[in-house]
Amino acid sequence: MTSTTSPARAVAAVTLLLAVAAAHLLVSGQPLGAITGLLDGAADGQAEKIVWELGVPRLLTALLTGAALGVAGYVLQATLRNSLAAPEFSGVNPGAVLGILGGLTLGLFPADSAAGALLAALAGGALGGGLTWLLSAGRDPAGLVVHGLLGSALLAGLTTMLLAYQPSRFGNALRWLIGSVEGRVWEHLAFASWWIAGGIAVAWACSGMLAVLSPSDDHAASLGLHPGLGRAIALTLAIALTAGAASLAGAIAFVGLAAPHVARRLGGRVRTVAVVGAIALAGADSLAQLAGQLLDGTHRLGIPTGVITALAGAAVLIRLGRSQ
Amino acid sequence: MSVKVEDLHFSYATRPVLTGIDLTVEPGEFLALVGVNGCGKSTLLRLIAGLLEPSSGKILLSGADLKSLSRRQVAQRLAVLHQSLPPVPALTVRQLVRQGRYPHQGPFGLLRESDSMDEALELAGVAHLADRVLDTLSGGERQRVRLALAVAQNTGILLLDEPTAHLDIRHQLEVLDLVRTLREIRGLTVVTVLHELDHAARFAERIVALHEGRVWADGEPKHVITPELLADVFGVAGRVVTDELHGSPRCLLDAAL
Repeated sequence: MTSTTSPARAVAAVTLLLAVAAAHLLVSGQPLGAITGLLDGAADGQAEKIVWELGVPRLLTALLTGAALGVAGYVLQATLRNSLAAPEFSGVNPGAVLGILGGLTLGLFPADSAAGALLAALAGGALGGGLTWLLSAGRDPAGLVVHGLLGSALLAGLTTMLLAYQPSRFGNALRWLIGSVEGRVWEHLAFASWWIAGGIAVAWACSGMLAVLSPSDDHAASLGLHPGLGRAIALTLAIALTAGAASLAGAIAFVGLAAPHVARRLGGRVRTVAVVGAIALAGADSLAQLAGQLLDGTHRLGIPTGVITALAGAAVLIRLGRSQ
Repeated sequence: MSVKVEDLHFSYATRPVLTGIDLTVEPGEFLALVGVNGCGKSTLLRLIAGLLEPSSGKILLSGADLKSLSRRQVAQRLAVLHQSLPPVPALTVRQLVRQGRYPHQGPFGLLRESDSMDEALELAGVAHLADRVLDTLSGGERQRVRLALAVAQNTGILLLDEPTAHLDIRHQLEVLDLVRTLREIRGLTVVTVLHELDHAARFAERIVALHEGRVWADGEPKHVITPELLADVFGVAGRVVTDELHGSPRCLLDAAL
């Protein structure tokens, strides 16, 4: 990014974010007056309260989760030097989901505890990432993705066993398995939002390190970065961001895989990928809400956002794959 | 900056590669390392760059023991042009060259533009390519960009591992010419591994021939490049003539021995 194009990019990013945010709030089915009414700084009346208590937190959850997954994917792809690296393919995201479901099943934290979910996601994500790390120890970092897929499959199997053990919990588990930003309120966001914002800030501060690490270990070492140390910092960051995202929205797929591709095509780095991820997930959730309204009454849960990201992400990747 | 190598030994597992190398490169010298594949010339370069740990022996950069320097301190003193730079999707020339500032500024500094970066792009003659994606450039252009990265790193020593590999003859000459120019402008100490003996003889002031883990010959091109070198080190019967225009020795190769 050269200095001449930066302001234009910033304006474009803010405009797009605002547009997606507005669309997201509009498709929630509440009247326009309830949304604009909030601009006076107070939630008066039933409709405004619904938007403030449900609509806005849901929007923020989608934006933050999308940004976190996008940045986590970017960090993983740069560090592991593989454009197929992503939170969901490195054992981190499946581990985080297993952590949350395991914690809930064992009753380690109550179902409405945001901090409990985050801690469980962190532990699970670190376990999943650690498993991948162990499987691929001493091998080429690019091969980590293959072992990540193996580790992810293993963790998903464990999650399935957990559910089979207590099938009655399956309904509640579904939102974590597929990924959904529905039903998140301010309390859920209280800590996770700072966690994710902090993680993205650290990633931004580390963009120089990530750039130096991207080509090869020799390249990084010759520029003064100990590659093992750099990789450890980057992977810790990816786990922290993925766990933050998973603790809010479960296993949202493909944002972490596709957003970095889009950001790189735009010539951007950490900030760009955060914006792309945020827009992608808020957009996907808008579609999910629309689709949920079309199928009104048939599904108690509505359409989980994770379904939309999985479909859209697959389509984007196929296009990317063909055009390369 | 000078490079001093004292009684250096190195083994890969149980296979000894270097068995007692002594070498002093004076500040501003242009030295070429030659030898057959696997003779340890790239290994020696990596040892000097601090990318490998010697089994025994010492390496000094301007008198400072390499072991006592941090990775960052080493990167402030010497730049390395490795044989290859693996592709990074969508990486632009400017983004790559900016990485040369990393050892000086740390991760935060890379967020800023820097004057020395523009200077590096100019010196290497790649300013017009600054916004191009690296993977779309030709081999010769890529090498120039990588030299710009080394210049941006602003070190006293430049190590090159076969900088002309996979280039056509015109770009081979261009790249070596650029190395020579950069060395003159920046007062760089240059140590390069070269395959092509004629290039070594033409561009380097001093040639070190490695053979069986040791320094077989060390001196001015006209003293090192001899029929004996061709026979004993490279296993080739050949003659050595003098290039009248440049005054450098040239090899005429006759047959494999």
